[in-house]
Amino acid sequence: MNATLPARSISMRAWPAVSIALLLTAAPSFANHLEKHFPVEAHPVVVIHNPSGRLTIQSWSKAEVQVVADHASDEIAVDAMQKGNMIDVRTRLLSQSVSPDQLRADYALIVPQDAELQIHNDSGTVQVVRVFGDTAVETATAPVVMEDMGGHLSVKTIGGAVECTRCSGRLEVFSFTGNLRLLQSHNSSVRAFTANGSIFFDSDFLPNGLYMLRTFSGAIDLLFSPGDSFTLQTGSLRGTINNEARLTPTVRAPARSSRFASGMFGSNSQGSARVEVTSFDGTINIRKRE
Amino acid sequence: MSSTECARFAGDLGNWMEGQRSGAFSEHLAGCEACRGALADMEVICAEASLLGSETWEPSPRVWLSLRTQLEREGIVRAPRWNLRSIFSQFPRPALSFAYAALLVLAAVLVIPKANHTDPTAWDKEPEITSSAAAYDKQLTSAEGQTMLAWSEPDPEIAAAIKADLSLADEHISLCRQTVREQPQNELARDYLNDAYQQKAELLATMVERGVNLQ
Repeated sequence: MNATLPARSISMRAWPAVSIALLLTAAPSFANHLEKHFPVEAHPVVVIHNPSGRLTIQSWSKAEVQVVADHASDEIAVDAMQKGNMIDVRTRLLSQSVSPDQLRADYALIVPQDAELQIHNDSGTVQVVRVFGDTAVETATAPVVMEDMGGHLSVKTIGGAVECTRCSGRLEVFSFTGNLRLLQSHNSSVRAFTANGSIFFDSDFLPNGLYMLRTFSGAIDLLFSPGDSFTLQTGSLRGTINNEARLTPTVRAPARSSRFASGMFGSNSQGSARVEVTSFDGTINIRKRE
Repeated sequence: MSSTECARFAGDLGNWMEGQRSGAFSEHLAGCEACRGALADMEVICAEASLLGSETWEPSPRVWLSLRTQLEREGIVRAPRWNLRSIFSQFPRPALSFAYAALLVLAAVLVIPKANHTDPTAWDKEPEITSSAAAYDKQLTSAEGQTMLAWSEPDPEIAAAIKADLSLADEHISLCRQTVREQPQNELARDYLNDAYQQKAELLATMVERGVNLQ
């Protein structure tokens, strides 16, 4: 059976009616709209508290924060206020009996590149692009996507996946069941932990950098190039380790290396970065890049 | 005892813990079992925290974030001065205040004693680990009880995720405790036991924090 309707099955005379019908069904999805602009000084702090919805943050060169918010329900309200150099954006409940659907508010912010962000967005999605101030994100189930970021990044989720592409600065990611992906980044320090999710690390090892990847039962994939300079310490209490790196045993192994039931220690190239990869019972794969 | 007085006491708990104890609250405590119980929990946790002070630990980012947010609300963004009262005063419900305070302290200080594997008597530390773990179990169970009583999650998806993760954290604690019992000298096993306790404390803190944010 062919379910595709031929285009000519709608006559030309019917188009105005179809258009109106489409408008009527599409328009009321967000009945409440807010747009505000706040002039700010250097390094403004932007705080967002939203229980549910889509949050996107981008940057521009203006010394101004733009907040656009949309929500359908009249059971919630969105506030955006300025206190000095801080912009506080939050979703308020107007009733105690709000359904999950009514909680939803979507935000689109544009901030100066040097803005500092504090984001709390429990469900929905969070996307932050090209912000170079310190950023702290907390979510419950919302996945977090960050691209071209700088500063100190701290992400904490319960079940949301986290993907960080082309990030620099220090990175701390903590999740219970979310998968963590760190791609093409240049972090001087990475601490990534997920209890049951997996970790995929395909990024640079900076000289004297510190990279700690840790799971409880999730798999860890760490990709390297033969010329990468790092000292690797890896171990798993009850899991397995698959290693493609040709590690040179170091003269002085660290005291902690013996704590692993199965583990290895050694350096690749000059060994300038320090990489520690551990899991309780997950599989660890140290793989060469294709 | 009225919940208003309990709320007032919760708001002043920071001062109380810092030694500024008013007669009115002493009277309230004498007649309120719930506040006495919560205060006793806090005192145990603070005592544990001070005993663990010799360990090197880094407070959870959540602690910093909470402090930072509070400071910003007060307009002191770049002047990091705070006291316990300023944190507790934002939580109107006493059960939440006590639970959150307890969890913040727990999340910050949870450190299972670490043995030095070169120490030939490292196995002697097993009773110490067992007693620490038992103390954390007790504190977490108490905090979990208070949190569950006050918890009201409108989003079923998040409620399910949190419940599943709480079960997972309990499983991890159980697995890690078993491994530590089998390999008491294994530092990585202790690290994971510590992680598992911290996971649970963080989860409970998340539940309380979300409840506060939705009020």
